[in-house]
Amino acid sequence: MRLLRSGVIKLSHGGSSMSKRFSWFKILMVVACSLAMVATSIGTAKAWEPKMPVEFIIPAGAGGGADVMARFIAPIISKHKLSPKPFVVINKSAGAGAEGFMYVKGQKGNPHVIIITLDNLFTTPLATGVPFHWKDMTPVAKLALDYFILWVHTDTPYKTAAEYFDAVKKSPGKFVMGGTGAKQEDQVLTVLIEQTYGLKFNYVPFKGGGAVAVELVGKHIDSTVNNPSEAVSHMKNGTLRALAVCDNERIDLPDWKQVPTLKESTGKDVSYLMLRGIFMAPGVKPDELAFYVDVFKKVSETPEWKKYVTDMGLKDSFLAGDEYVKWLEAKDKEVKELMTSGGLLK
Amino acid sequence: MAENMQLLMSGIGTALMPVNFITAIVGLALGIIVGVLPGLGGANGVAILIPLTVAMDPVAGIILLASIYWGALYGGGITAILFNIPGEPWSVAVTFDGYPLANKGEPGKALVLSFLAHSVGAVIGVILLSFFAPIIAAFALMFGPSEVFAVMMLTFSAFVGLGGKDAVKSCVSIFIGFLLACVGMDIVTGEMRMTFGSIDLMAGFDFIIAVIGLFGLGEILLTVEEGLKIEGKAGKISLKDVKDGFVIICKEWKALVLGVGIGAWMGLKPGGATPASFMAYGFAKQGAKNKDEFGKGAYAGIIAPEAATHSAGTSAALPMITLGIPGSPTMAVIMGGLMIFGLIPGPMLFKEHATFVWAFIGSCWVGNILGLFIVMAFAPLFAAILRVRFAIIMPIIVYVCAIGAYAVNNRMIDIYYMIVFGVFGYLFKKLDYPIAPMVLALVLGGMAESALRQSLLMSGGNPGVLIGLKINEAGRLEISWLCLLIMIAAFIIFFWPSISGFLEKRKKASA
Amino acid sequence: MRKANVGLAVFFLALGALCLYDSVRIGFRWLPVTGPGPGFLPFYLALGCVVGSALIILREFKKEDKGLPLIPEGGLGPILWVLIPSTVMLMIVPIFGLHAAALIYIAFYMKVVGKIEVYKCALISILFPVSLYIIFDKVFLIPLPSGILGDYLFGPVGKLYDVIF
Repeated sequence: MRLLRSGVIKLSHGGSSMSKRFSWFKILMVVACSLAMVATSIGTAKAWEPKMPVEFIIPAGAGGGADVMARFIAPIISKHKLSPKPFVVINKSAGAGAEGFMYVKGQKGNPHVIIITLDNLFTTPLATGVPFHWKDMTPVAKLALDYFILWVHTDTPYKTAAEYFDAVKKSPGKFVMGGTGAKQEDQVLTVLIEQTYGLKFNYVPFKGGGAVAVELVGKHIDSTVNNPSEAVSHMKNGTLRALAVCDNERIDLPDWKQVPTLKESTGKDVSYLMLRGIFMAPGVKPDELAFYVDVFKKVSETPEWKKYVTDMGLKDSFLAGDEYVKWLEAKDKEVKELMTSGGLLK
Repeated sequence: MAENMQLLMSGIGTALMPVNFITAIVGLALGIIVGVLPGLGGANGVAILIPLTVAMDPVAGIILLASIYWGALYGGGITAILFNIPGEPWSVAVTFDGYPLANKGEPGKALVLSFLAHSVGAVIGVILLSFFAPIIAAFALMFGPSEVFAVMMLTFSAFVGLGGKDAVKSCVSIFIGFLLACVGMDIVTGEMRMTFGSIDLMAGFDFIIAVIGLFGLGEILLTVEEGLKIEGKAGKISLKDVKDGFVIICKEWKALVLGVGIGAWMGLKPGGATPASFMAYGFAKQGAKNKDEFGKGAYAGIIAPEAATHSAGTSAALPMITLGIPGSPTMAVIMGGLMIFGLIPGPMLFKEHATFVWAFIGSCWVGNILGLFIVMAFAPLFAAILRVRFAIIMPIIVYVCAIGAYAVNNRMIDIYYMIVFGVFGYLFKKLDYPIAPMVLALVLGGMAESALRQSLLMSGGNPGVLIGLKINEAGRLEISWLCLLIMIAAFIIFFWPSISGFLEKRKKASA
Repeated sequence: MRKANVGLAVFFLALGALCLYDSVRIGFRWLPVTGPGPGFLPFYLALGCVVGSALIILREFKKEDKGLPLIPEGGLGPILWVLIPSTVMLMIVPIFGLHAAALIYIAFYMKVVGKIEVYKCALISILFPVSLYIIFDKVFLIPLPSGILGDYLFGPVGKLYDVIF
């Protein structure tokens, strides 16, 4: 009777009066469904499974990091038969992702909507004043974390982060730090660096990570905090220099082993990583949540995923349940403090 | 060069392998469909098929994605010419002359001209991609925010001649276009502008939706005003059209060269295909002797923007492969596809994955040339749609446009916007407000504003940076000649009508 | 034509005023270090829009000649015949879904306006939505609005597609 139940859910969505008025329709559906059930004889699995295609929302535009990841995960799920219904990827990017978050918030109790998030989960509500908080959704899992690296052009004399920071200190506000978007992760990290080292950058926002890296290659700006994948090719080509990783450990991947951490370079510990995680609509049942946790756990164990993580220079760190919530709470607090003290909020 | 030639040949060889060849045909056909459907652009088309390619061999996968793009480039102009409904943002400029020509009873000729111009643009773009990639990548690197702003000014100045008869109304319509472009999030400060707390307004007004309404629905309303027509229009395409097309395109070689040149340049860094097509149209009109014919079905008014579109579309692959910056929204999505294959775009792609890159370039040759034949084969089919009776085709057009408007952002409200824009399109036409400059302001407003503000931020608020004058960290003056030159060109072209008028007067006085 | 001209100009005037208000709120000044604020450009654009529309209104009232009517005689009917059915179709989307609403819309338009034979109407109005449903919802996986009933109306088609492919 799985199909029938999905029908009832859909009807009651439109209002209870509707479901009464269309009771004849239900009868018709019962007939149709029982026919369909004979055709597609279902297994005996008792656990919850999706009954219709799952909407996989991306709160960012097509072609960006989150978009690429979602479009990578969706076919893995079909390929390894992790879900009986396909995951359909939909971009809702308006207002730095506010559109996507508000959409999921409004889908209370709907188990067929999930969303992939990046740090705009924390920054967007603070920056735009949209009435949304990540607690308005159900956390599913943290898939990976994205590193930030401090980059300069190889033609500049700075060999370490300490040297570069000294130069910035001498002429405050003159060095241009490029990043993606305003009041988002790149700017928050810039604030963190400024506060830790007592510096002042001139932060200039651009449209995408790749564009920021190229502005640096073209020497239009002085430094960036690009993610590894956005600048790796320029590093290998010898135009960009990675000064330091903004984390307390070096990146454990062959291409990145030689890049020191900020702590090694300057003595001060600065760690900032970007979330790549999954959420569901609020008010879903535990068995529905368990299904998605399981799916993404399995995704993170596939060889394709391992290769992807290596290619993109990500920190593979699957996390679910209470620990994930704790991580989110800590991160949320940090971002809020930085944005407030950095003057990014009014 | 010789080495490149050899690599290119092996790349073409790979692209001609049966599997890849068939993939290309499938991709092109899908791309043409995606291009024809208004709203459903190349970017959507590619994004939708990325999950399919994950299971494929990377070479076949990238050929599929790229072929969709080539197909969408070819197909975008079809509905623009036949129904005044641009299937893609970059085919807005071709409506200005393509639709009038089709309306005169020569849809075949208009389509053939568009396709031929596309193919020439494509070939030039691919030649650049094959042989001059490193030089051109270095050129693209020279464009910082202030240079981009100068290019935007140049594009706007090309459109001076496109205003209506009524100067005040032209201004108001441009202002409205810019204001619409401002709605949503400000990229520099992250502030919400003119959204009044509404999530729907945060998404702003999508250019393609405004265009479907203003041009497409507006045109339908204008047509029915004279009574509901029962019969369809004449719409035959014959081999003679193809022959005529060749002759015309040879005669109008200036427009062709202009279009290809502007396209190749704009695809590299600042704007991509959409601004390229506008700029090419504006320049073709300004440089033409028969200015009055523009807007009534001038051949050059079809050739220049279409050639620019495709050459920009192809050359946009260059910065994507060599630098990792997409030259157009569609390229951004294709780049995402490459990353899924584990191929990180950037200068190392050529070195580390040479076979892959050359197979891709080879498929650009094969795909674009194949595309011309496929789209030509489709043409009679599309032209035949014109003969369908109005009572059948009108509701279907509205339905397809509604799907397209929805597919842009997956939002129902966009369909309502489309209808509202349709009513405004009708009012604008009737009351003599020019639509073209408004649309240009809407599509380029955001890019121009962010370039302006980024340059000013970087210079510490010193407006000298806009003409290329910078004070560096040591306090010395630096001049960006590129920026200065483009700015001067923009000014000359902006005032050209008055300058040429003045020169003529002097000529007459001295004679 | 005068009424329409004034009407549209008043609309633009109001629009401009609204934008003017908002750009003042977010800060329209040219600041010394950061250059123009977020409201700088919108402020002057809106100002231009307000001034321009005011000029248009003044000019219309100075003119002696009222001009031709906006819509020529007999033109309003056909225009409404396009606009009203389209709007009604959009209104019923939340109930029937886009494809089914379009089915009704196409059939209605062909039959009532085009006076086309019933079998042709039925054929075309069913064929198009069904094929577009398959293309978008099934092949491209772009879920279009399905409303309350859309899934039931087109579900069987989807099932059939799934079975075949």
